[in-house]
Amino acid sequence: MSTNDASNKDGTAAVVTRALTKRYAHPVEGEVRALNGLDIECRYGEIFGLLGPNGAGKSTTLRILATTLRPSSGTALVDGVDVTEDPDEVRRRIGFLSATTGLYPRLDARETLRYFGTLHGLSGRALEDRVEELIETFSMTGFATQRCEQLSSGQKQRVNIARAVFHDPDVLILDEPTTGLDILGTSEMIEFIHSRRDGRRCVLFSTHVLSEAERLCDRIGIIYGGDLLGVGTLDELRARTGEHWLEDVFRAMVTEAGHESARMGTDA
Amino acid sequence: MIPAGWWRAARVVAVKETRSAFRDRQTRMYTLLMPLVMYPVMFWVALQAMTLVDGLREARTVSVAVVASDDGAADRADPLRDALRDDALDQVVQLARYESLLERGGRDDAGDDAAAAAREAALLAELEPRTRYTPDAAGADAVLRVPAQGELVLEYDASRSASRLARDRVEDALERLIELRRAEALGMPVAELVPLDFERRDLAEDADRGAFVLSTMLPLMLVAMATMGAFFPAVDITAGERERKTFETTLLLPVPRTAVFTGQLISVAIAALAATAMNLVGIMLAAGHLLSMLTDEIEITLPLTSAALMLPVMVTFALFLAATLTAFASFTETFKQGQALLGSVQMVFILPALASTLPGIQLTLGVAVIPVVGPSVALREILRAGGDPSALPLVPLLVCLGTSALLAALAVALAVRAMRGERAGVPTWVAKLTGQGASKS
Repeated sequence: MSTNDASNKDGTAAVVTRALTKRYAHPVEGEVRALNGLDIECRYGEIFGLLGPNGAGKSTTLRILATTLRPSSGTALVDGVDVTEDPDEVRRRIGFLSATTGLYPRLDARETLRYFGTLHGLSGRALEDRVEELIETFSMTGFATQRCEQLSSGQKQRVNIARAVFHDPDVLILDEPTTGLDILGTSEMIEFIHSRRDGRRCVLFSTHVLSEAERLCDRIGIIYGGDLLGVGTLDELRARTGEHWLEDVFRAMVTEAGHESARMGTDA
Repeated sequence: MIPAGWWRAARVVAVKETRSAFRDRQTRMYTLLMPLVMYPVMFWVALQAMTLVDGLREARTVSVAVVASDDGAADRADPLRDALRDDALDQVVQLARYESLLERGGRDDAGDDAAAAAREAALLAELEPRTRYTPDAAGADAVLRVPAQGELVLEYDASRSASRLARDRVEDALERLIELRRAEALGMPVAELVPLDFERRDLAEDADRGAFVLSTMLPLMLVAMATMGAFFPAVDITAGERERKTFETTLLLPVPRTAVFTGQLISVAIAALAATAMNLVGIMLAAGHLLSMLTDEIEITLPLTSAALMLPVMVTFALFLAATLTAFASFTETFKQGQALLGSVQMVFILPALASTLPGIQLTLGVAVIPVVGPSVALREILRAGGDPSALPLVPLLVCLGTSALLAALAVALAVRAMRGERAGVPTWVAKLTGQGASKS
C-alpha cells in the first residue's frame, strides 16, 4: 500500500526545504511575510516537531509541503519530489491532517474512506478490503454508516486519521493535530503519532504545546516570526541554551534571536 | 490530450459532489422540488384566483341610479330602467333604489315649483356618486343621467371596483337596448344589415398553439430555473467548503486540481440541468391538464425531437452558468457572502434571457453569438418548431451551439483558475458588492 517500497530509508531526508519563503498580499494588512528563507530537513524514521507560537510560520511551512500553498521562493522536496514541480505526486505520497481539514459532512465515514481510496487509485475488492481494514483498525464499525456531520469530535478525528493514512504514506504531516481535541482525543492522537514511528516513515508535525513536543519528537525545530531559530534533539537544544525545560529553551532562543536581529539592525 | 486518469478523477469528484449536494435539503428544494411544483401551483393558484374573482364579480350587487333629469325625460328613462331590471336577473343590479329615485326624480306632479326645486336639490345631493371608498356613504355606485333630449351621461368612479362594475353593467344594458331599438326600427335583426361578414379560421393545430405558448414562456423559465438550481451548489462548493473547513481537504486530494475543480463544476452544472429537467417535467405534467380547464384549443406537448435538440443547448449553457457562478462564489469566504454576491450575479443570466419573450426576435447569426441571449432564443426556436427540424434556422443554431460550447470551456478554465487561486482574505470588490468588509487573516 505504501507509495514507496524502500524499507531502509532510516536516516535519509524525507522532507527538505531550502531558503523557503512565503509572502502574500492581504487586502487589509498589505504584504505579509510568513516565511523568511526556511531551511529544514526531516528524516525517515524520525518524528520531527516544528515548535512555535501562533503566527510563527508553522502552518505555512506545512501547507507548502502539502502543496495547498505555493512558496514565493526557495525549494521544498517531499519524499524526493519537488512541491512546485509535481504537486500531484507529492499529495499522493503524503498524509496530511490538521484542525482545518474537515470531513465532508454529507458523506458517511465509509463513503469518505471510499472516496479517498478511489482517488488514490484503488477500486473493487482492494478498495473495499482497505476500507474495512481501516474501519476495524480505528474502531469505526459502530458509526461507519453515519454521516460525518452527525459524528462526535472523537469519531470525526478517527475518520480523519483513517482518511490521512488510507494509502499508508511514508511522510505524514500533521498541523497542530491536537487543537480542539479533548483529553481523550489528544491522548489518542499522541498514541497514533507514536504508532507511526518506524524506520520507514517520517512524521512532521507542528505544535505550540511544549509537552507534546517533549514527549514525541526525536528532533525539534524552533520557528519564530517566519525564521527557524534552531534545530536539534531536546538535549542538543538544552545544551545550546543552558536551559532544562523546553519552555525555557524556547524563550532563550527567541530572546537570543531578538538580540541578534537588534544587533544586526544597529550594525546596518 | 487529457489523460484517462484525469477524466476518471473528475468523474469521481463530480459523482461525490452531486451526491453530497442532493443530500442537502436546501439544494433539493431549489433544484428539484420548486421547479417541479412551480407550474402546477402557479396554474392552480391562477385558476382559483380567476374563478374567485369572476364569482365575486358575478355575485356582487351594485346600485345604479337612473335619473330623469328634466321634464319629459322619464319617457326615455323608463325603458332604460326596464333594461337594467332585466339585467338585474343575471347581474344582480340593485334596482329598488333607483326605482324609487326615478319616481321622484325630475317630476313635478304637484306643480309646485318651489317644492319641486327643493326635492330636486335633495335628490341631486343623494345622487352624487361616491368618489372614494366609504362603505357607509350614501349614493349609488354609478349614476345615469337621462335628459329629455341629447346625450346620456354615466357618472362613475374608476378608482372603485364596484363603480367600474356598475359602469360595465349599464353599458351592457345600453348596448342591448340600442340593438333592440335598431331591430325594431328596421323590422329585422341588425346582423342582417352587416355588409361584409367574415369568419376567423385559425389554421394552426392545437399542438402548434401549444408550441407557441411554450416557446414564449419556457426559455426564460428554463434559464431562471437552471440559475436557481446552480445557485446553492455553486456557493456550497466554494464558500460553503471554506466555512465547513473542507476546502483544504479538497485541496489535498491526490489528483490534479484541475480535475477536482472541473468535477465540482460538473456537479453544479448537473444541478442546473436537474432543475431544468424537473421544470420541463412539471410543465408537461401540469400545464396541459390545467390549460385544458381554460381552453380546449391548446395542446401542450414536448416532442422528443425538441427535447433532443434542447439538450445540447442546455448542457453547454448549464456548464457556462455553473462555471460563472462558481468562479464568482470562489472569491467569497462564507455562505452568506456567497449568496449575497451570487444574488447580483444571477441577474446577468436572467435579464438577458428576457430577450426570448420579445416578439419578433429571431435566431440570427448576430443573436446566436450573444451569451445567454443566443441559447434562450435558440430554445424558443426549437420549441416553436415543435419537433420539425426543417423549421429550424440550422446555421444560426449550430453557431449558437458552437459559441456556447466555447464560452462554457472558457468559463470552466477561468473558474478553475479562480478556484485554485490563493487568497488571503476577501478581495475588496467582493467586500463592496456584498456589503461585508474584507476579513483579517
